[in-house]
Amino acid sequence: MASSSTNKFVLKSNDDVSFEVTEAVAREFQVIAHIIDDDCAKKAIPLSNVTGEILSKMIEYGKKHIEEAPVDEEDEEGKKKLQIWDEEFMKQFNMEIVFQLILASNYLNNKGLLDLTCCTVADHIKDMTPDEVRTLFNVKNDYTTEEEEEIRKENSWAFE
Amino acid sequence: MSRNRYDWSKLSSDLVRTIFEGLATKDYHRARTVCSNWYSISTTCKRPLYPWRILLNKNSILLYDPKEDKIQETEHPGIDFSIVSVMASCSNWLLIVDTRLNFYLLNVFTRETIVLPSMESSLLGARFERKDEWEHFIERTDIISSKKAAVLWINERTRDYVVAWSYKRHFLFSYKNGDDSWLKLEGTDCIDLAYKGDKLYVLASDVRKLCIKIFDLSLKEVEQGNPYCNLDTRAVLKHGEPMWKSSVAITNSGEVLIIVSLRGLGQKCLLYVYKMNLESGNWERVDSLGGEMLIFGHGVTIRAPVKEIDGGGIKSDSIGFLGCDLWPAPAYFHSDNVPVKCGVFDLATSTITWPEVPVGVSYFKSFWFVPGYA
Repeated sequence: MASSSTNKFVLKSNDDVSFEVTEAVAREFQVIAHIIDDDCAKKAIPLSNVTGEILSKMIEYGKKHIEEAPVDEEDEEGKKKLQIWDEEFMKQFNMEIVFQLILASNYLNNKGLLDLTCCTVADHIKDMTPDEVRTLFNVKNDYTTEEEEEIRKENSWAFE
Repeated sequence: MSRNRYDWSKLSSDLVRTIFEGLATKDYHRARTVCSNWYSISTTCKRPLYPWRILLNKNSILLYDPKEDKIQETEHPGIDFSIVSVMASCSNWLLIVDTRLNFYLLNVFTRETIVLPSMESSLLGARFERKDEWEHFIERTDIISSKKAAVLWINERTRDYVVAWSYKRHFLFSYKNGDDSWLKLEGTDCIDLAYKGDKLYVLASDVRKLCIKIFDLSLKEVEQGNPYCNLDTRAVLKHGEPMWKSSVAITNSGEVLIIVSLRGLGQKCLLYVYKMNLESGNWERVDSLGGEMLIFGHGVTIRAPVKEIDGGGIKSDSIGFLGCDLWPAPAYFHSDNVPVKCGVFDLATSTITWPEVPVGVSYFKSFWFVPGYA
């Protein structure tokens, strides 16, 4: 039986782009790990919710986190290095890509990337007014005037 | 239609919650006002919490956020903090009494105040009822300087609130919004107070024992089903470990804790936490708060998870306290000009951290403060 470092799998995006990855990288995404464990991974694994563009970024992230994984819990230097890489990695994306990465990492179940992308959004909306956040997220203000007054009062200190 | 090709409103509650967890306190409070769906998501969001510190100046309050390492100053020209007494805090509010015996609540961020009814009749009237008991005589000037135990609870949204305080361990006063006047109870032996779920928990003591009495909001004692009758301090404190202060706190799951400040071997200042084993009826010492944190004297714990602040000592299973809560070092008695310091006690290791505030900030008094996370 081949070891996980030589075993290869093919991931196929919803726009028909295929990526060959090692088993270790494939297992970074829990949903794919389950498919492998269930022995359903003979051929290419189709991922109906992810585009090739997004999938290539996710594989880049997964590879890095396999290659540069900290030696152990105590490896502060290794952790720090990876954290810096994560920050640089996220800088290249606009919010549209970040949004798609959130959905895809949630779908493929990679907690590290999900936390990283959600954090990027949290940083992005720092110091925004609720109206700016509503515009960015395309969310409607559904409060009545009275309700909004009450909610504003409760959270009033954040608007000082 | 959105300008964007992507539609954030499609994000599931779980994903919005994950984003919320990454927000700083202020941004989080803004985000939850965006829409009703986000508001309800925010109420189930487990953001790591941590206490701030309040630094008092004569006419202003400095709010120190240790995670952001940022200070925010609010001027209060109408209040002289050097002569009023800040008795308790809850969420964004302080309970304050001034030299004219006016009690009021102050929102430290917005300066909003809520004035409580006068205590004149219920408090100063007490001296005439019990002429013979001179030790219970109340002097107006005493109220500010004397040791008091107090508790405040407020709901930020509805502005419902409850205030209770004890004076000279003898009197217990309580007031809740909507009532006509204060309620008064005598002879409680109260040394500390906590409030949770419509119940007032009173830590009372006689010479050898600490006990928890439970009262409802009409100050009627709830005796039935109170298992916390007493903690025999002889049994829990070893010989040579004198007790300095004690406090009561209720955890988020409703467990009652007694916290004792004492001097251990080698003059070491210690804080012990006791929890009752409800099966055996014995109080047992614990070295964990189940991931929560507590502030000595605050009456309720900070729910888990607690944000660990590097270098500040703040973490799960720790106790925030004031310098005066610890067994006094000899210097304590003649160092009036040193501002009261805030410290953190790590329950697992029994070590103390004294977190710094930014250099050059002046203040005469500081204390822990847990902003309203709701």
